[in-house]
Amino acid sequence: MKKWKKLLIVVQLLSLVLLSGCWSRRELEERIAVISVGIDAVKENGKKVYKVSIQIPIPVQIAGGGGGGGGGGDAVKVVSAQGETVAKAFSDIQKKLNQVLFMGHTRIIAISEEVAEDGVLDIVDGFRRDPAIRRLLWLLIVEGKAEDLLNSKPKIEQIPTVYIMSLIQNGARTGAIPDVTLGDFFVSISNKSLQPMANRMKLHEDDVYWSGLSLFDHGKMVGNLTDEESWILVQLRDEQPGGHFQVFTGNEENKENIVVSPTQVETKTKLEVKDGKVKAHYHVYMQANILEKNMPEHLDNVKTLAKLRKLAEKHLEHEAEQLINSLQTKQKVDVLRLGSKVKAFHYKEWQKMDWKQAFQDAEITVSYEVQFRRTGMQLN
Amino acid sequence: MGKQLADKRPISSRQAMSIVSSTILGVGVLTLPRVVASEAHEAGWIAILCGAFATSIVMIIVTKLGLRFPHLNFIETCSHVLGRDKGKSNKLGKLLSYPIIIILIAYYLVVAASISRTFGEVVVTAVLKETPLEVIIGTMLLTSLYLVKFDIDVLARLNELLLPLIVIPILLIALLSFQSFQLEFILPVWPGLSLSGFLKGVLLTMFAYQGYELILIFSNRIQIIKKSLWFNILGIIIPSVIYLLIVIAGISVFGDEELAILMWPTLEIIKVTEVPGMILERLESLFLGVWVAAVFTTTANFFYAITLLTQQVFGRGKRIWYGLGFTPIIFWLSLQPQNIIALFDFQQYIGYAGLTLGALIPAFLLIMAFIRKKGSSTGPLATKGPSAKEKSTAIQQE
Repeated sequence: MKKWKKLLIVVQLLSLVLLSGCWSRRELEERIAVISVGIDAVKENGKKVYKVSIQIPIPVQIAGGGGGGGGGGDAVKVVSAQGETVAKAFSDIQKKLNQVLFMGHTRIIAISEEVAEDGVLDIVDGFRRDPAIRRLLWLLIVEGKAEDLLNSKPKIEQIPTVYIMSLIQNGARTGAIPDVTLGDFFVSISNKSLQPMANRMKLHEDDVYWSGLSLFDHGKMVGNLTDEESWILVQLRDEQPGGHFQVFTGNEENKENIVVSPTQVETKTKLEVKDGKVKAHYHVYMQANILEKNMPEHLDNVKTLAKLRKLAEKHLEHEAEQLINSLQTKQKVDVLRLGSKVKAFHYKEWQKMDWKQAFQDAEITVSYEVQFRRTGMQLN
Repeated sequence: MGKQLADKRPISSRQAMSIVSSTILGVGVLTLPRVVASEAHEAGWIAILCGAFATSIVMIIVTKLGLRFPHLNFIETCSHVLGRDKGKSNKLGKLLSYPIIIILIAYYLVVAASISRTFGEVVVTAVLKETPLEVIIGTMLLTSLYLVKFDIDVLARLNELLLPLIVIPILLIALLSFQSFQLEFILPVWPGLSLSGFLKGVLLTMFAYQGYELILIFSNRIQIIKKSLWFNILGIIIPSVIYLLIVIAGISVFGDEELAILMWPTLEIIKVTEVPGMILERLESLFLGVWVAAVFTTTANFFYAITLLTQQVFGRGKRIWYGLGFTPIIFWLSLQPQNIIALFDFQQYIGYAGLTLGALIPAFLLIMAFIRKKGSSTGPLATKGPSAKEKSTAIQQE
């Protein structure tokens, strides 16, 4: 019996060592966290190759760099390498680093416009296969070079990635920036009734800003939407308010206008399919506030507000018409999610039609109903 | 065996329910949304319901068989049904039941192997990337072996204890992921499927439902009450509800086309699920940590059933020694599929086999018992006093 007890103690001690779950543990400082990835195209010996850049935080600069603040160097380092494929470039990056790369903290994948126009399917494939990559990170298309986005110095945050990330995140929360993550991009690629889109970033000197959306047709970028077009799109598509807009109240010359801020949007879609032709009507009900008035007329009576309302509705309807027209004729992609609605509610017809063509032939109309709720702290 | 039976604690109905539920809930839930979406598309949730319905019918057969022979273990049931009447030596019955038992043992071995392999695969891909697959499978099997040492009531209590730990996290995840529910993805209700395609989808869900038939092996120890059948059915309803929620969540978040190409769809669902407040992210590692319990109850129950059956066949020996013998076999079997795709193909066949064996054997035995008028046709409650009473008196006598 005593022997057994001794053996038991040995087994217990052994299991402490063997079963601690630390088979291949790696301490935090033993790996390099990638926080953003940038992908550009460059020419190498006349051949087009990818240039992959990663941004990695420097822990010492962030943790110990406090106090004075300005004393230390950069809080991040950007490392890049070239390769025919993204995976190859990553392994070249690894050669330059002393610790193992860890992708689990990646927040942004930035792709330059040039690469996006050639197609992103091969790039995305690797990210899909990596279990560490999360679906909720932001896929951004950069006007210019993606590397420059990683090198940008917003100064407000120590880490540029955190700055850009919160810029998009806060925008998405208020509804001013479309909430399209990498996961949404994946889903739209594999789903026949959807077409992918991604947020677009622009650089100007030290500033980074959101400049609209990039639209894709099966992995290839086919066009862009400006910020204002994107807002109309999110109003139709996601019932998000979008951003402020200006409504001209007088004639073209005197530039009288009001600035309106939508606060709440509800969208109803009426869908009709007849003989393979899709008829869709969007009715957008919008609640809005007036932010600024640049005209002599006073706002203190209901009639004026009603007049302005009509003007705002007209303005929005016109914008929406133009957007849909451009989607149908220029980019030829259905980012309105109309296809999935047709699939969901008119499946029999959906099966028969070629949606890409059917979307271009579809009759899509939009009507707005704007209600001004508040005009601010000033009565007139 | 009869004597042994009397002086051991019976399994309560609730424990029986837990055994059914936690055996069913295992690795199936990790791949189920993909499997269903690839065949039944938007109607995946209907396939799950049909699967649950079919499984419940088999469960009724299994329970009825158990109720007919309340004091006989599985091999005794087999030989009693197939062999001559009582009083005479029953060599014929035993001889006839051996093939059934051997097939069952072989099937259980393969299932236990495929479950531990699948779990090993998901852990290696998602969490412990550098840990050898063999170690994960090995530790799982050794833990199961440890359980084999104990009596059935320990197994029953373990299942009862672990069930909430298994059900609550997956239920939470399924419900939380409904935040990103998209109606368009789950419609149309019936996406113009051919009936054969849909039935294939239903058949494929059977891999996720298998494990319910184990209750047959333990049935002679289960306390019989009026609601025994109901508890067993409830044991199937619990995993069905979870499956239903997770499949609806998967389809409504990803759409069936995306879902069909995800290797581990449930992990992806967890990945995109945001806990309100954003305190916790990347829950998939945490989930897999908890899910060890679910996989353990499945592997361990199968392992236990294997050793119990062997012990009953030989009529002697300690289960732990049989377990020690079977461990390397299961280990070897689990390493047979060359890659994950081969494993998934393999699972599909296991699912089909499970449906056939799990349903046909009990149905065959029940029909034979009915034809040959063996056992109590009205159930044990109507004839003699319930076994619980008997068992308690037996304990007192001792």
